[in-house]
Amino acid sequence: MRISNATLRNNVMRNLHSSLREMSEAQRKMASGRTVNVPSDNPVVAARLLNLNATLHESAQFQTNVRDGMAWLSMTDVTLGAVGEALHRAKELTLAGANSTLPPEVREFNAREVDQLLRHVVSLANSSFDGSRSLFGGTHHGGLPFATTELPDGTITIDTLGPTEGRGAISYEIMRGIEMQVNIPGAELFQDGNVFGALEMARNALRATPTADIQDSLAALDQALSTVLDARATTGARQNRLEMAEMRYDEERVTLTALRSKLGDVDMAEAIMNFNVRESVYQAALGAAARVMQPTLLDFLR
Amino acid sequence: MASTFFGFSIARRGMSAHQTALNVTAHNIANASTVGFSRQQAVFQATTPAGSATGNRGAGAGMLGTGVHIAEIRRVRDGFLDFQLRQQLSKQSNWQERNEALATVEMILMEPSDTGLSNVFERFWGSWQELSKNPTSGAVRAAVVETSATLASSLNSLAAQSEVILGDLNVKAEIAVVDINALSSQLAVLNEQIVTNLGAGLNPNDLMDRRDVLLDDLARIVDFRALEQPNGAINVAVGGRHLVQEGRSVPLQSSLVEGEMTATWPDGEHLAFSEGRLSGITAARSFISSEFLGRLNTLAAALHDSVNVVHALGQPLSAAVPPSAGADFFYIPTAAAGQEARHIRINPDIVANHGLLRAAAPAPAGLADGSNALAIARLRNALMPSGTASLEGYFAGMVTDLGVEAQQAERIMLNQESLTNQLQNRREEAAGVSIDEELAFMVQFQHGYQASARLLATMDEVLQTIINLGRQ
Repeated sequence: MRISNATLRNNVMRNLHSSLREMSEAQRKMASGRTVNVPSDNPVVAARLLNLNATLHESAQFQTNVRDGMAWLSMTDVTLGAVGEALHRAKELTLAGANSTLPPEVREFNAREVDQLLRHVVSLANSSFDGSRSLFGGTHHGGLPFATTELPDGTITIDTLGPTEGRGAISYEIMRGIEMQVNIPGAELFQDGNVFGALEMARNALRATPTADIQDSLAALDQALSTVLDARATTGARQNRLEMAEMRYDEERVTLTALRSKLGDVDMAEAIMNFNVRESVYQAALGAAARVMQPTLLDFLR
Repeated sequence: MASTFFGFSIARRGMSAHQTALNVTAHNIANASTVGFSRQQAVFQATTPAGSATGNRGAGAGMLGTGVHIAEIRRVRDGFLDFQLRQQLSKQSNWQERNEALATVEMILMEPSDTGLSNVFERFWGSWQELSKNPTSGAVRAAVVETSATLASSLNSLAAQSEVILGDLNVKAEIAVVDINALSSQLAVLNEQIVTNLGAGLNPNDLMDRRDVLLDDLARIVDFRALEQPNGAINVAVGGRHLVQEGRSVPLQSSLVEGEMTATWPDGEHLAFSEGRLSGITAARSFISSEFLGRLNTLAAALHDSVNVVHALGQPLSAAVPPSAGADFFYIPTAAAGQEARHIRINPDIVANHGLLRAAAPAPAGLADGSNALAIARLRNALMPSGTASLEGYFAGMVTDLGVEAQQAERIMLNQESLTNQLQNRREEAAGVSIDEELAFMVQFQHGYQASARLLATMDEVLQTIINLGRQ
């Protein structure tokens, strides 16, 4: 084979270029820390990374939803606890009023305290979650869900909430395609469950001269208490479910992140090794080029 | 019996032939770095011997040689290698062009990364999830409008950048046609000069080298058939039509046909080709416009349609607005059919009034309901109206197909590169100048010259003997 000077030069340049290209590729991987920088680096891995990222984002969103749901539910639980205490106190006051020896003015005091308890329960029913959403308002928007009217005798009565809005469910998506209702609709609990009604009844019974209605109102208060307890039990059960979901998402995130890292992250030790190997190949190519291009016959002619 | 001065002319011819050979060597060395230069050889040939086979020839041992002359100065070149190399050059620049164009698309796509379109999509769906939990919060509503605007403008800019790439490809095609015309007219001129010189019995080696360089250049732009004529001219046919015929060349034209810069013959027929830079430009253009921009448009249209259908079902935060206000969430002008990705945006009414976002399910649900927002968020995993994939799945498919195409282009380009390198080396093996070889020849010719001159001196001495005889 005849080797011309151009052949030598071409070969040297080609070898140097391919060494340099490999070095720059290795450098790019080291600098970005990623095995796939553009889809053509590895289309299959690129597609899997896109899917993994989408799944990670989706489950992160569901996990946020679960946490928001748990916050909502514990807020509901605390509020319902306070409602329960108010009902207990109202029951004590009403029981005391059932004693026929009690002077009427003391019974009137009790009635006023029950009225205050009613106002307290209304404000609890109007409480909001993170300042913008009403805990028990269902899907009602604009103003408080439970408005009250002051009566001439210094007590209040409750305006009823719109028939459907107050029963509207608020659901969070906690898993792909699975929604969970997080709210206890106030119209169902406080109106259908007769919580306000029992308190109003007790207040009015304490004021009435024949105390015959007191026994009925005690039964109503018991009924209301058990309704609130039921709601708390439902809330607790939902909290348990969300806690399990949250644990699952924690585990899922660890698994998916590990997989993504395995697919998409550069093994630094290997990358540095590769780079060093290529660097020495490049240096060897330079050395060889310098030696093979240097001498000509001229050096040996006198 | 040869004449007295017979030996003088042998020596003279020897000197003259070696001097010519030295000049050829000098020419080779001088052109050692010239692109496309083929080394030349002075072909030594013994001149016709004295005497002939007739009856009245003088008695003697046989035919006496009369010395040497340079029969021809020829270039060392393998025409078949040129043919092979040009085919591969065409293929190489075809794939190189595709690779460059697709790599640019990959750059504007920025996938997989934290800033690409897929991430913008994630934020878009996430904001609707948040809205479903907080339908009355102004901040959350603003976030939905903001992330949706980001999604729309990401689609806009991806489409706009692809259009810029397509425009660049058109400019490249136009330049390629200009280059073809420049090359073909130079080829015609060279053909003419070569035919004239060959007719006069000369070897126009350097002109032929220049013509070969031009043919190599032409092969990079478009694939062609070169037909060497008996008179030495080379006719060039592209797609079966003569581009160069002897001393004439046909100028090509370029014109925009349906938005694509197309090369045509003077009579309007499209130039037919299957390899070369032009072919790479055409292939890249059709991939980008149908497989990338086209699918981006499908994606934008599907996003527009599916979100709007669900959005229109809901009710806005305020019941006081007319039922038609802000029913559409996304907006694509009717005139933008086929350019959906370029023109998709959010309904300006919604941008002006976030309350128009229809997060709530229709009545009897209350206005603080978020289930319509949730329904939109759940479009994330729904199939596109026309297809078998979700929006994101469709986009991932686009990314994968682009990756496969770009990877293939790069792989073939690298293969072609090493193939053309190999062929170029083989051509250099025959035609390239080796300085060492030329130096060896130089020493040889120098010795030949010196020896011939010495012969002349010897002849002179011999004659001196005869001339001095008469002086006694």
